[in-house]
Amino acid sequence: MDESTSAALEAIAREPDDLDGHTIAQLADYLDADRTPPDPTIDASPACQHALAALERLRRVAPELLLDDGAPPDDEDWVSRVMGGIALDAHAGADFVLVDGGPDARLVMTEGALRGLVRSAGDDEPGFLMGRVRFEGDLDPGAEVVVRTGVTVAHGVPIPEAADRLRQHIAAVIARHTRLRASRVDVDVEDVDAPRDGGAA
Amino acid sequence: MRTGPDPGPQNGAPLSTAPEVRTPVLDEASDALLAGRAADGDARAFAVLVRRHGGLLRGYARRVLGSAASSADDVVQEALITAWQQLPQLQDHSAVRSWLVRVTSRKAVDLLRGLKHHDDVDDVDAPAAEGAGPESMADASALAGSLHAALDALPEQQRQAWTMRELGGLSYEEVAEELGVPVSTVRGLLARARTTLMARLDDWR
Amino acid sequence: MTDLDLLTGTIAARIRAMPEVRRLYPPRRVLLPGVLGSAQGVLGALAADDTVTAEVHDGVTSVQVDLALTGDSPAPEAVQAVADVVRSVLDGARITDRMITVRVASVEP
Repeated sequence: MDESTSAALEAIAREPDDLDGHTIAQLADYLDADRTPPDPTIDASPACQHALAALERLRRVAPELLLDDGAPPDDEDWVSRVMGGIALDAHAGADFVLVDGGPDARLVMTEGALRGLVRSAGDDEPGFLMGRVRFEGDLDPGAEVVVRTGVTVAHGVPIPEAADRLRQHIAAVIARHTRLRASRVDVDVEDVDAPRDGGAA
Repeated sequence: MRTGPDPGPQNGAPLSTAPEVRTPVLDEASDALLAGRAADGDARAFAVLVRRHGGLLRGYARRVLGSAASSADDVVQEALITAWQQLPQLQDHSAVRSWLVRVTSRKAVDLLRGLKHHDDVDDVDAPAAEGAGPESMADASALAGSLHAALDALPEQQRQAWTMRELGGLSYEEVAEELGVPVSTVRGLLARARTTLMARLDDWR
Repeated sequence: MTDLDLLTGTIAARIRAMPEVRRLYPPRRVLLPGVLGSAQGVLGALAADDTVTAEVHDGVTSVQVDLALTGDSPAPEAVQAVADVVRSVLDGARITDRMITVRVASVEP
């Protein structure tokens, strides 16, 4: 902060209205709007320009408040306390009948469990990290289902071949653990993981 | 630093097979992917988000809470539990960080309101805040320390409005909603907070 | 009611011993509206014992089992095996009017 800025700040502190007819609130709005549309009465006012510079500086140093707050970034105890507090079946979704249980039993799986199966099948496939998983069609025993997945793929993976392996793997897992048939598995490549520099040579 | 599986040199096989492909790992995944998986019920993905943003949320909660900062951990824990439940309703997964900040803001404001209902107003408005104590001052840079002190000395609503806007990145409308006041009031609170803080930065210099 | 407790305890113990089963979930987890400042209380409410529930309605005994499978065997066969275990315990207690629900909440290899 140069001396004229600090002089301006003092002026602001004492007389907040002495900004050639503008207020700090207006200047902050102007800053938030990236100084558009240009306002000549602000741009031409040295007092306003100094105040804007001070506001920007305040904004720049603000994140330090958080970083210097002594909040340990990797506190595993704390993380496990949080994780212990969440109800794992919160997103289970609807139940579907997994297999006929006869007159005295209802044997079901949650949609969330099936999503989890597809997700871990995909994660196991080299080069892929799974995102969201969706099903289209009903999930009664014997039904045909369309599986839609979003994936991140490693840089350098030949996508068509790898996606085929992924589809087969997912279809096989569904065939093994349900009475459904995956009529189609959509693999939507949402992201390509960039090669790391500075990693293993 | 190595993360993720890597066949590496201990793998005796000749290096002639596939070109080196590094399977993406969850710990380094984007916020959007993690939020999507968490919304699908993947607790591991949510844990990565908790680890990645927990420190920021705790620091943020401390600043919003001021003298009630000792409750920051409880506030953030409760915010994260709520966030896990409400994630399926989140539309834009890439904005999960600012959404977590908003959920934390709400919990912090709820706590302060609760304290008031229990006649602890004096406690909330007490000037001596933990963040301004000598211990944290020593760790912080002198500038940040000075800002800490200035921030803690602000009236409660000014401090909250400024923290939500500048540290939390909330819009004026969102701040108004969290604080339960009109947008015009938020504008005024921010103007007064900024004026005071700028002057304090100048003092420090 | 102690009879039912005994019943569910027996069923839970038998099912937990099955190689197909990773663990039992508490049948219905209700997250209490959080009370700030007492996160302990919230967490405590969640840490209910994993178990099996049974209730009797209009003479019909309903047993519900929520579980995680290991995935070692196909899920349809695994849940049928679980249902058979429940049936055998109920048979032993001579309970014939019954409805058994087995719900796979996750598969965790």
